[in-house]
Amino acid sequence: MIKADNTVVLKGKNEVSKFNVKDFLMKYIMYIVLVLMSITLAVANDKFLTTGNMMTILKQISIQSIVAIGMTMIIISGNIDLSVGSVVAFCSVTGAMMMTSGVPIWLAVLLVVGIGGLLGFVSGGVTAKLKLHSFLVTLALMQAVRGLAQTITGGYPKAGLPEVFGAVAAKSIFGIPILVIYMIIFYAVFIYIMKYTAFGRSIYAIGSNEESARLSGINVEKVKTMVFVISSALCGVAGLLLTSKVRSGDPTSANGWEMDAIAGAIIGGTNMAGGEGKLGGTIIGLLFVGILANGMVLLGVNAYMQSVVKGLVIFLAVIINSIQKRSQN
Amino acid sequence: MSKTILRAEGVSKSFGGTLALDNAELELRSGEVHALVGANGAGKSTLIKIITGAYSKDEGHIYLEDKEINVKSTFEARELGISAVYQEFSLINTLSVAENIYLGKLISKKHGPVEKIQWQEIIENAKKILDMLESDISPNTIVGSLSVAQKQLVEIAKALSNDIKVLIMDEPSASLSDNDIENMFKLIKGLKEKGIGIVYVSHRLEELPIIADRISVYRDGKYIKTLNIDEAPKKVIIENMVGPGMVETKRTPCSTSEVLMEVQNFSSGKKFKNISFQLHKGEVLGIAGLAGAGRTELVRAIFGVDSKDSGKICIHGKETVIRNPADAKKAGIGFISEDRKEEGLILNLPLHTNLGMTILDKLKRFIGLDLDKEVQLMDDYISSLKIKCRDSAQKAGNLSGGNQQKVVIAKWLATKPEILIMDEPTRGIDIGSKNQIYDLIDDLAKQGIGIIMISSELPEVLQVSDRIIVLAAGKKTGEIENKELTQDILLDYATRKQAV
Repeated sequence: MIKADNTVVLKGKNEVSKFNVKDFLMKYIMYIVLVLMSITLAVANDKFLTTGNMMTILKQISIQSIVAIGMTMIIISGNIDLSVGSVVAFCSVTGAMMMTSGVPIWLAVLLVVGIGGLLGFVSGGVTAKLKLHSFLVTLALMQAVRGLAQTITGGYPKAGLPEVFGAVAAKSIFGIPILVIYMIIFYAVFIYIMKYTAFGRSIYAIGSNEESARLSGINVEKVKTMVFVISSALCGVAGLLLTSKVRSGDPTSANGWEMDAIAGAIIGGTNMAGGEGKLGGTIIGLLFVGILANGMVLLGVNAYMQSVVKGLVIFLAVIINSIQKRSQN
Repeated sequence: MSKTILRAEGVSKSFGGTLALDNAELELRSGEVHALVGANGAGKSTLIKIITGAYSKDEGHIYLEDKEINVKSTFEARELGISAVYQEFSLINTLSVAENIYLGKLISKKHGPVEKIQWQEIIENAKKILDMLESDISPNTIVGSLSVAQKQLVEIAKALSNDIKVLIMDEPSASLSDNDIENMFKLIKGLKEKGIGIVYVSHRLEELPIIADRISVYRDGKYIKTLNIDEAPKKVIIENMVGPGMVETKRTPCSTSEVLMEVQNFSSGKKFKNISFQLHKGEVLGIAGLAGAGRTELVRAIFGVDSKDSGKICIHGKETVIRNPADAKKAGIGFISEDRKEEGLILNLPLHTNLGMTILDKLKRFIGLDLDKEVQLMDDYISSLKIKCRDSAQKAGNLSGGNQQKVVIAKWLATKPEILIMDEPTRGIDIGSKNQIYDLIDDLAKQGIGIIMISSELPEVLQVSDRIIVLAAGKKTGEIENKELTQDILLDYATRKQAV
């Protein structure tokens, strides 16, 4: 009996080891749709399946994908952060302002990531300590921080950055854009954190059942606050990369990124109710949206229609996810 | 003999290859209370869920008043006159009592295309049902503000709002105090007189002679036999439930004189006042009292879950500040809460992850966590605590109540506690698992762990504790060595007003 059980453990944590077409389809449907969509696009347009175009897609999602890491973690913890786009813009302009006024690059980078973390400390701390809904707290912060970014710049982009800083986002290594490499490194690190550290495990526990986590001696307030701090610090990183990429700090940039990050997480299977989700899924979700957008541009779909299609796809993904969940139970 | 109202024959049901119910029978007469007993996993819940349409049966026939029925939903069952009151209430806390009773069938009138809900009528009807149950709950009260006993009554009222023939009650006494149970029994007797057949599922064998007419026993998914209550003393029922070879255990005290923890002058508003006691090494300290006496509130404050107004804790003679459960855990205290589903476990996570939650700090390596150790530990506890499960990766929600409770115990044993607080550790679990938990408490005490156990079942407190403190309305009214104590004496303390 115990022997038999152990072999199940070794085989993995799946319920059934026997191959079943329906289960397989259910489990990998998002991947299958992704592949089918790519094949269709490759057939329809020969520019789609080139290395150059693939790199363009990856590069396009790279900076947002770093924001989506934090968003996924926050949603898994049972919260939401609407302020990420504003924080990215604020960090982008403060970084640009520091560097144009002569602050050494290394110091500006540290300060900006610190400012991001501090903003997260505010939203996370208030959410955790006062037991408020993070939706409301970050809705307020979203407005305030965006306004702040516009106030300190007078509403105009801050240009004139040191040449060297531009290289941070512009380089390529072995033909791979460095932004993509950053993305891969960040995902590797955070996938590890979510799966194999006490902090990551606490996030899942809190999102699944906060009371149970608290009674198990997990410091819920601290973990919640930390999730927001990390997410906002990642927004700081994203803000700096954005500044480097476009060689300026624009207070109107990263508008709506919170929605893109949420969409990526949800398409990737993260449960809005918390407790469930994977960063690997989020990257698939972002790729999905990225490939779709790229394909539509190649096929010459007009911009307004693109938005309609994107909306429909998100809607479809949400339905597929809910069917998947039901079939598991 | 009154006529048969509901009959189940040869009912079978399997879940993913395991046979949960194997050729089961049940014969319910009108106006009788028919108790279903059996260990966890015996098939009682599956059977009642099939009768109420929550599950579909694989095989077998069910007859209501000699007509075969084949219900496909709980809604359909209710239409036919079969209603159930489950252990987990189906009430919506934010709605009023009346709306809850009439949920899904709110009375409305059409004025042309406009529909208007007849609130007045609903409230009056609800009042009538509540009056019939001799309850003074107002139909306008919001359900969330009611006590557990009152919620149960509303649940019964909800069932009665249909024209019912069969009422199924799943562990109705599990979360009630003795007083409330007595009221519920009166109510059940009233329903019997109306000719309603009642299926009564309970783990509390002591109450069966008082309430049940006949008893059907199930074991491992199979129907064993039906007994008249007068031919079924507790011993006979237990023999049939667990099969031959099980005996009730009596523990040997191993309490020492060494004081492990001292609780001094604990107070918190109206919940409890000025409570002090000592816990010794190797001692099992029972906390008895009626519902609302403040037992759970007291231990939650000790463990730092809820705040307190005043009071201090000394562990090994040193004052220890406990502001939250994390502090308590550091101080060597473990807490098995009364609500294992909501507070003890995370049901959608694997067993080993649940275990790991309390010992994340101990699993830390130079980088990351030692997850192999976590699985290993869970595997060890699965065998040492005899947890019935597929493997340590199974989700906690898929285990039976008794086994879930063992997982909660395992997750606290993994912290190597010196003090273990157990709030209703055997609530809603079968007699076999109960005895295993008593044995375990005994073992832990022998290892020198000091145990505080709250239980609403007086026989259990008497069986397990070395010493008992009794709370009544937030005050400590008794502190007694468990020698020649009886339920009567405890009840006497539990109804006193004067603190000791």
